[in-house]
Amino acid sequence: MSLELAVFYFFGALGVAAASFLLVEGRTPISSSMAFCALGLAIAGVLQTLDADFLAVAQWILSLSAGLVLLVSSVMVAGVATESLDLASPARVLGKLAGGVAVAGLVGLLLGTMGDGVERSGPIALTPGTADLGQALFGAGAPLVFVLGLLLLVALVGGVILAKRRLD
Amino acid sequence: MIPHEHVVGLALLLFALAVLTVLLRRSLLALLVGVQGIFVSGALAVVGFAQGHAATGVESMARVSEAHGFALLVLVVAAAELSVGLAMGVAFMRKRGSVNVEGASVLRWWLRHGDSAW
Repeated sequence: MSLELAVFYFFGALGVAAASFLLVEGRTPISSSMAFCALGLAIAGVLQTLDADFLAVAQWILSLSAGLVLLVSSVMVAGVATESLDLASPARVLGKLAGGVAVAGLVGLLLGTMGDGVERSGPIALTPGTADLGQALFGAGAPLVFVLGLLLLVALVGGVILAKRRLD
Repeated sequence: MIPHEHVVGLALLLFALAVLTVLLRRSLLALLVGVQGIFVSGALAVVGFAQGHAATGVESMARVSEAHGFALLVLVVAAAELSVGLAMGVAFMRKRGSVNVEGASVLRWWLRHGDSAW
């Protein structure tokens, strides 16, 4: 088994474990947020092994930022800060696992960046770079990008309106 | 080179687990994360299929780029869904003081209490 395949299986198993944990144990907001972070990071790792670098970085940023927002909002709004988090709690173990994967992924991305320019042996995979992705997105897919930008703006305004607190 | 069947199989497994989460869990955040998992597993399946077609020589680089761009757009839609869903969840948690959606029907609640209660 090659190292690439082993890394793929590791991240795949982590993603399945996180999704299963969410299904079985996701009763509290903290455990749900931790499972979300672990699932997102695992998917980012899988995308990295598939040479979809830009997608992996996007998923990396999305999972970490959205998981943090989920955690903070649930603690601030739902008042779950007093929820017991002993050392052996599943959420804490999963949080440590997600942190370890985040650090390992960051080191992997750094090593991958330093390794650029080195010729690789074996069959060359047909993997698009960032320039190809930009050409696809802003070439024929430009109208779709504009529509999705509008969707994000509507989601932003709608989120603010829905979540604002009325003071009267 | 990772076999694309493995990628699609992993995406299918994650999709099934996410759907089960949405159907079985009653925690609001678990529902949100489950829907997010559905989106992400779909994007992963798109990337896996594109890689499989590229390996067989059916697809060109431009087509694979389009597939990756489409997966990126799916991630954007997932982010938009998460932001709106989280805002709705914040409003729900303020009203109910709980993340349990069992028996919750905001529309019925609104009809009973009127607009002034909001």
